[in-house]
Amino acid sequence: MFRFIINVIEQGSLYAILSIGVMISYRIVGIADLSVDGTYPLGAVVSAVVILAGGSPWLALVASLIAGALAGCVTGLFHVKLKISSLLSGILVMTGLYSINLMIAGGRSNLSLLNETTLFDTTWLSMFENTTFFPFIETMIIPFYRLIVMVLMVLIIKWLVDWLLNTKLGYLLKVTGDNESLVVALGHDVGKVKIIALALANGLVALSGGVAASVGRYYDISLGTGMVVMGLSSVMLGTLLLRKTRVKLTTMVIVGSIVYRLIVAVAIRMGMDPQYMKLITVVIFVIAIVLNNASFSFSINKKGEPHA
Amino acid sequence: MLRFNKIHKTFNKNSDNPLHLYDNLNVQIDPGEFVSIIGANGSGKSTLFNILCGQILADQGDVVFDGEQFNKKKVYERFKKISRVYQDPVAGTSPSLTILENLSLAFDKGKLMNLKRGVHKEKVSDFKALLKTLDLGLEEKMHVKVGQLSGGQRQALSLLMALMNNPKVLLLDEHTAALDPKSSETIMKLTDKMVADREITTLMVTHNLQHALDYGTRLIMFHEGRIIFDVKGTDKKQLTRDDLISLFMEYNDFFVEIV
Repeated sequence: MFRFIINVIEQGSLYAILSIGVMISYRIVGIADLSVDGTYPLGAVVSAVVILAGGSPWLALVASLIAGALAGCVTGLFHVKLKISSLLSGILVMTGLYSINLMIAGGRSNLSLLNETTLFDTTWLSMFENTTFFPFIETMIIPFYRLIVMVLMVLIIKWLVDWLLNTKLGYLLKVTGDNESLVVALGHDVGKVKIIALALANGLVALSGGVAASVGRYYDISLGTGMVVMGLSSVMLGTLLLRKTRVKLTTMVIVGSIVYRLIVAVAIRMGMDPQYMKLITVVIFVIAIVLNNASFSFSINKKGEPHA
Repeated sequence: MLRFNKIHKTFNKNSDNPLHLYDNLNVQIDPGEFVSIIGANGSGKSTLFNILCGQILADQGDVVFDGEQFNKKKVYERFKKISRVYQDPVAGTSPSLTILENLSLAFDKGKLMNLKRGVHKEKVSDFKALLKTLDLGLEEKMHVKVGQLSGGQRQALSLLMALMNNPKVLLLDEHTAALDPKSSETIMKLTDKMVADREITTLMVTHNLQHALDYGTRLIMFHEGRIIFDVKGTDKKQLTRDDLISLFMEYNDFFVEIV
């Protein structure tokens, strides 16, 4: 049971990073960005290749982040400069990335990292071997090392995104989702803001893919299938569960991801065939969206009265 | 100074049914003028605003502002000097942000593409003083989301935001038309006071003849893309409602918009 909970939190943290990315594009700026299905495996393959080449797994994560941000820029440029609809721009980038991911992996559709040093390498902790607190490290840190790293990573990313959303640029992102023409009226190029948002969102998604390569110790080209819907489900679920509270959007999304993983894990534990997982994702998504809409219109009716 | 120079504009150019709006339109607006613009629907009032802001491009002619060619400038670049308040109270504010956040954004107009803190906590008392001039009690609602305000309150806030950075030109696009009569009068008085205090060059499109008569230093009337009437100074002061109505009758077969 204990192990089960730890697994859920680890998985939830992994997808929380992706979901925070999806939150930026979908929830803040209001673009349903489908390139996520391509940038997630892009992040994974970039990390895998860097690790296989002997690079540090942390350096690999930075590379994943940059690769994802570049791909996000391409989606943004398609949408803003070539005036292709945002949905179609995402699909085009996702499709193109399939070939690019194959290319990065040297034509292979999967890579194994079983014998490589990953983000969760604990050998460096042995430098404390002769200190008095090593027994503590051995019993309390090493067994939970992966969990600790994941949770810290999510908290740092959450903190950074919260900070960003409170800067002037962050407010421009929010206004873009709220009232696009106001961005222009405030003297700024709304296209540029959208490109920045998509770069940021896909950077985080690719970062999450990079972490996934370390968690699963492998890369597979099909890793990204259904990731947009999963990220959106987590965002919906989180905002649905915590809508009455005053917590930040990022907190809602992290809770949403963990609850989402919990639902999936319980379903599998109760004997559901894992091949139905994507179907479960869609069901969770639709339920969350229906409940969200219902509560939304309800609250508007309530608040609307005084001004009618 | 703002100048529209030999503007030509035809809509639906390549269709069987082209609409020639402006044929060599020339207008000059002096600094500090408050111009009321009236005319029937489709007479070219709003198109003038759209050409100035760059949302519509003229087929020919120049827009010159303070000696600067505006033609090639992007819409968002023009908005660094121009502020515009629309008919729809929803257009000028960000509903999911608070009053304080909206005002902070307007305060930093044109300087938002950076990572400095978004909200000006140190400006709260200044903002409160400004909101107090609106006399709508908004100074007590700094942390209320703008989406929860009434149309009149939102429009007053839009006006305040539009004027926050002392724009060179203020465009008022039937900005009281969507409000109830009482809010409409309040907003109009506020507009007049704020514009006069700051001596901002203002263009106001309105269908309310009384507003056009009562406010502003100059009055222009459009008909089918031409200026058919242009008065300022004492001539404008002596103008009566009946004069305007008879002008309207002269040019329009149907005149139903008498307010």
